[in-house]
Amino acid sequence: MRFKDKSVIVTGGGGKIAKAYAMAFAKEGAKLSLPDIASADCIVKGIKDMGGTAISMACDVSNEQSVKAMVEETVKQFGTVDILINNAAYFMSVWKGPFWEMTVEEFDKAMAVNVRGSWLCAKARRSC
Amino acid sequence: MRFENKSVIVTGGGGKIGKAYAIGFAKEGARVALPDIASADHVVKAIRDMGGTAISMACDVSDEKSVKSMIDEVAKQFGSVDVLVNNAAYFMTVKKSPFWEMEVDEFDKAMAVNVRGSWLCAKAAFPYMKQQGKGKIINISSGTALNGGQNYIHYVTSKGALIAMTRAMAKEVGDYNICVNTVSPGFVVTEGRPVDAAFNASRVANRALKRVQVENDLVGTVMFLASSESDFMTGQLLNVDGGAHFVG
Repeated sequence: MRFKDKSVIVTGGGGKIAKAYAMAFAKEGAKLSLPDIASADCIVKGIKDMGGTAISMACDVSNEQSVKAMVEETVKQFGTVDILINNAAYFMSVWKGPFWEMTVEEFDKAMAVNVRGSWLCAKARRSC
Repeated sequence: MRFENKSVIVTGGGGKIGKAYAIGFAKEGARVALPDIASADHVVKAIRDMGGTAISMACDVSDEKSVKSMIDEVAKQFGSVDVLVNNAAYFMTVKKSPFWEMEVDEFDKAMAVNVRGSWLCAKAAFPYMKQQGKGKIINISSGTALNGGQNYIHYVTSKGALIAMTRAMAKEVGDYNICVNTVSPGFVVTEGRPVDAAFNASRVANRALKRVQVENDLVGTVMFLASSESDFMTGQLLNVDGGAHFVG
């Protein structure tokens, strides 16, 4: 139980890769926080059904206020944040095409979620 | 005269490093375009005084319309867009702080100029290069992406992004005989730049070639990547820092 009582955030926690991370951490005693823009309730249930501890919340990692609220809620419920996995990414629904046909909105979205989002989560974690 | 009648764009052309590139290209016959948010008139004058051809224009590389207008103007005046050096960067006035104290606006600014700007310029240059059947794009990254420079995470991240961007761009435009490569400069002490002596000494000590890096140290590599001598090289990162880091 390497992560007994450790608090672990896995952003994008409702996705399949995140589920794999979350289940593995839970099996080793971690308390899981699973923020996502989509629901992660099924994963929370899966962890609770095996006797583990998990919470989820709506969170847009590209938004500073949303991220701050997410980290604060995790700290409130679990006491601390020991590990942050910046897994959330704009990927599954990315527009694919030649770079010379891409729109600025699409480009900016990837930067906002994948780059800014990872920084914001690390920033909020560092500040708690 | 490797660049006789070639059209070369150096974004951020009014800066000292931009000037070094521009003069280097001009000496080898290139017609040089120097878009910048600040004036590049002094560089244009220097090139014309030596008998070369140069133009400058106001351009905000983070703005799609501004970039398109700039590229179209270069094509109109010079008849082609052969080489694009994505040199423009938000750097000299970056706000430095630990990443947990940085503001979103500051972070976004570095991404907009350094990452989006380089993409927008390549996007606008592509139709001309495709039509010409050849082109060269050089993205200027930074050694800070290799060593994890502290207290300006937005700048470091943006320069790391360019290394990845180059690889993806290279794959997308290879069919059109367009090469895309990256140069990562080390810490450059440009002419007249005030530098903390202890910091500079530590940089020098960390190099295999123990001296201060100046802007002219980068010119040869950039020109090589812009020349036909590198026609079968694309998607690569060339690190120019006196042997502080080793890549590849």
